[in-house]
Formats: sequence, structure tokens, C-alpha cells
Amino acid sequence: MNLRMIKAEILKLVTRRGLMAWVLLLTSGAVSIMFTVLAVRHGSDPGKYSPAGGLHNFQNASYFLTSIGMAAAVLLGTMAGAGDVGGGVFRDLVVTGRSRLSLFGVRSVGALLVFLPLILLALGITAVVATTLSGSLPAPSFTFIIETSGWVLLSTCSMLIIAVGVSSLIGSRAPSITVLLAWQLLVSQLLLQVTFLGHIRDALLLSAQHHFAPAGVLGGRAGYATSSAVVAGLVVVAWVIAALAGGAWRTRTMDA
Amino acid sequence: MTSTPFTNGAPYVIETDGLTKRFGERVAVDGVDLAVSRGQAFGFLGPNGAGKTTLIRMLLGLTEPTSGSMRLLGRPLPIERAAALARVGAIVEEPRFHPQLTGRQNLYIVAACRERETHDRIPAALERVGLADRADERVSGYSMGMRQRLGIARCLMVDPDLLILDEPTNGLDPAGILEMRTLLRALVDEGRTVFLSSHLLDEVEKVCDSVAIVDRGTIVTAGPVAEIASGGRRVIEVGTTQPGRAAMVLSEGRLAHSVEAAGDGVRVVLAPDSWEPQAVAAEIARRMIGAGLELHRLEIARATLEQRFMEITTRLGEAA
Repeated sequence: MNLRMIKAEILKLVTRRGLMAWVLLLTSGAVSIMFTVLAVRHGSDPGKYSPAGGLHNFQNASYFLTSIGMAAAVLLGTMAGAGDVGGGVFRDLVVTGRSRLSLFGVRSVGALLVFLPLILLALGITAVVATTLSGSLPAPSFTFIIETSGWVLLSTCSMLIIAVGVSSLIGSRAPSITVLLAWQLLVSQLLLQVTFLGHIRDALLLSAQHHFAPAGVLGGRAGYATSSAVVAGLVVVAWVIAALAGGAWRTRTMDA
Repeated sequence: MTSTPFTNGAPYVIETDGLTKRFGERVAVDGVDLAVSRGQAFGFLGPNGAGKTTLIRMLLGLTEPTSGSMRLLGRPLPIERAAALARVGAIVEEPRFHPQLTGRQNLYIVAACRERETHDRIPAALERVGLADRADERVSGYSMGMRQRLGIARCLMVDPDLLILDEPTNGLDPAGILEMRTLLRALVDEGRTVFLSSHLLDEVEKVCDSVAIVDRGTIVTAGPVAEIASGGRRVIEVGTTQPGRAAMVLSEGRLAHSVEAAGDGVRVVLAPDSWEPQAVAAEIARRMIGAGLELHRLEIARATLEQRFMEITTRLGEAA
């Protein structure tokens, strides 16, 4: 893997206008729309509706950004993971003699470098709007903003890397998107509610991600969260490593 | 663009020994022993499904062989595959590209995986295939012929010692085929080796110096094109108004292997050990005139690779 390969990977992703539009919409677009609605409501009837900013709206927006940002991460990650194979150009990269593992490795790096500016922009919008439009409400503190941003980044970026690995393993983008979104946004949410599973739920990525959520961000939506920071950290790392290992194995052994 | 010295000094650019690929019970490539000398255009000829593309895919590391060994540019595979492929340009099946990128950007993507100098050769490669003025347009707007040419440019930016091309004239119009033929011969004249897989017999005959005919996963015959083509039966067409009498006259002695009625005359099939066709033609003329037969046409049918190919593959089909 070298810098030229990383730049090439970024070029492949950012020139997909439709994909980039969706990722932008599901990150900065989503929080912008949310705050716009809140601001319009407050402007139309300040007595009935509180200001658009403030700590509470920041917490809600951060939770919203995490959920919908994971969908954006899945869209981008699966393109990075399965785009070459799906487009039939993987074989042309293999015949360069470059090792297949380095061809796989550059996908995650490229996807991260494309995704990070977009999610950071969304976080910036969230923090600035929540602070400046707080009005009479308490504004989020700088420390809380950093903590919450870290949690959003952890949740979305881990999902991005997992999406790269899983789509490389499956080798096709559409099934990968279906599997990942269904698992993370539907099945995992339901499993968190099944109390008789007890600590088995610690193995879920979602419960580990919930552990790191700053106070108040999840509100009553957590369902279940891993209690131990060490276990939660290991679970996130295990999911990422397992997905990458599967994707690397498939990339190395598949007929190109 | 200059030709680099041959990287490893080996006499053959491609060598395989007992190369075999199985897909379950089906044998796609069956114990192939192949040696391709450098500095020539080599045709790998066979019907669809004969195993041509599978062999190429094994050479390029796209699929692993079931058994056997391979050397590319003198380097053993898969141990030294990276070093060998550094001087190989290849098109496998139809060339594929990222449609949202321009032609130049597509070359940049692949160049990023190769040595740094590859990037500097992109403009020359585009110029050589006649795409310099369209290089900054999206590939989604390219015709099939333009994509084929971009595929060749992708090979040329490596400054290759060996080009492996799988059906490179697919989708090209007659003018494009002629351009491709000229380009391939020019590359050979520069000292590069072109390994051309095709089922288009006429195309291979016009471009290649040597050929291997493959069928059902095995190499049936290999050698210089002229030698392979002339290995088939030699025929002289005789035009006459009295084919029955002509057949009797020409069947006498050991002049012909057989004499068959054909259209407006007879077809004389020469025996493998007969004289040269010109000498036989002279004897045919002498006998016809001596017998008082009218002779209005005497033509030595040119031995073609197509005839030889059909003979071989038909024979194999009957034996199977």
C-alpha cells in the first residue's frame, strides 16, 4: 500500500456523485434539516416551541446523526469494499502484481479518508448550531461536545470499516447493504430488548457502542448497554477485526 | 516509449509444464506444456470453451492452477509473480473500467498499483492508441472500440516485455481491427512479445508468427503459422467441361491421393508425400492436354490456418 494507491482509492469514491450526494445528505444534510425544522418552529411560535439549539437538542441531533450516519457509512463502505469486484476491474488491479492484501487494505483507508471530513462537517454543524441557537436553554459544554463527537465517530467509523470488510467478503454491494442495515438498525435493536438473553447481548456491536454514549444522548432509547468499558471496547475491536479478516481472506483467495 | 531489455534473460516468455485446472469434475486445462519464445506474436487459438482464457487467468494470478508449474518472463509463479507482472500488460476478456472516471483517471488508478514511472507513461500510451484528445472524457461515453484501445493503453503504460491479450479485436469495426493489427505488429517489431488469444482464425493468421491450437483443454498442435497451415491437405482445383473423364485421367498413378468432383470440374487432393503443388499442377496440365480434355482453370488452393484448424477440431470432435 502506498500514498498513490490511497489517492486512487479516494478518487474512485469521490467521483461517484450519487453516492457522495447520499452520504452528504445522510450526515450534514440530515442534521441541517433537523435544526432547520426546529428553528422554523421556534421562529413561528417562540412561546410554544423552545429554541433550536441547546443541550437537549444537541443530544437528540447526535443520536440522530449516529443512527443515520451509520447508514451513510454502510453505503460508502460497501462501495469501497465491493466496487472493484462488482465493476469487474479487480482483475486489472490483480494483474499489476500488487499483493491482494494491499489492494484490500487500501479500501478501508480510502473509505475512512473520504468519510471523516463528511462526518466531521456534520458534527461541526451540530455543535455550532446547538451552541449558537441555544437562546435561553443551557448550551452543551465544550467537553460534552468532544465526548459526544468521539462517540459518533466511534460508532460510524467502526461501521464503515465493518462495511468494507463484510462487502469484500460477500463480494457484492446490494446484499451487503441489506445485511448490514438489517442487522444494525433492526435485528440488533430488537435483540437489545430481549431481556432473557442477559449478558449475551454484550456481544452485539450496538450494545458496545451504547456503552460509550455520553449521558443523556441515548435518553430512553438504549434498551441495553454493555456495562464494562473493557468488554465494550473489546467487542467493537472484535467486530472490526472479524470483518476485516473475512474480507482480507476472501480478497486473497477469490478467483478474480 | 522504448522497449526495455528482457528482464531475466530467459529464452521463453511463457513456459508451462503439465498445467492443469479443474472446476469440480470438469477439466478446463489439461496438462498443458507450452513454451512461447520472445519477440514474436503468438496466437493461442481455439473454439469457445477450449480453455484459452482459463490458461491466461492462471498465468496472471487470477485463478490458481490445480497442478503443474508456470514461468512468466523466466520467473517461477506464483513465487515471483509480482516481479514478472511488473513487465506484463494484459487484457482479460473485455477490458473493464470505472465508468464515472475519465480514460486518463482510469489509467491513473492502475498506475498507482505499479511502479512510479508508470504514471509518467500515461500520456504517451494514450497518444499511441489515438485517445489523447478524448482522454479527459468519462469512460461511460466511450464506444467499445475506444474501450479496447484504452485497454491497450493500460498495457502500454507498463512498457511491457509481454502483452497478453484475450480477444483484443472483440467489438471493433473493420477499421479498428486493421488499426489493432498494425499496432500489434509494431509492438512485436519493437522486440516485445504479444500473446494473442482468439477464436478468429483469419485475424491470428494475419498477425501471428506462431500459433498453438487448443481444444478441450489440451494443445493439439503448435508451431509457426505457415508450418501449421501447410500441415493440412493440399488441394488443386481443376476446371473442365468433362469432369468424369478428367477424374479418370488424373487418378492414374500416384499423382493424387484422391480426385473428387467439385462444381465445374474436379478437386485433386495431393498425397502427403507427393511433389510440390506447382509440379503437380504442371503434370495435371500435361495429362489433361495429352488426353484432349478442355482445361479452363487450374488453381493451387492456398493452405489456410482456418482449413487446418477445422480439420483438427473436426477430427477431435469425431473422435470424442
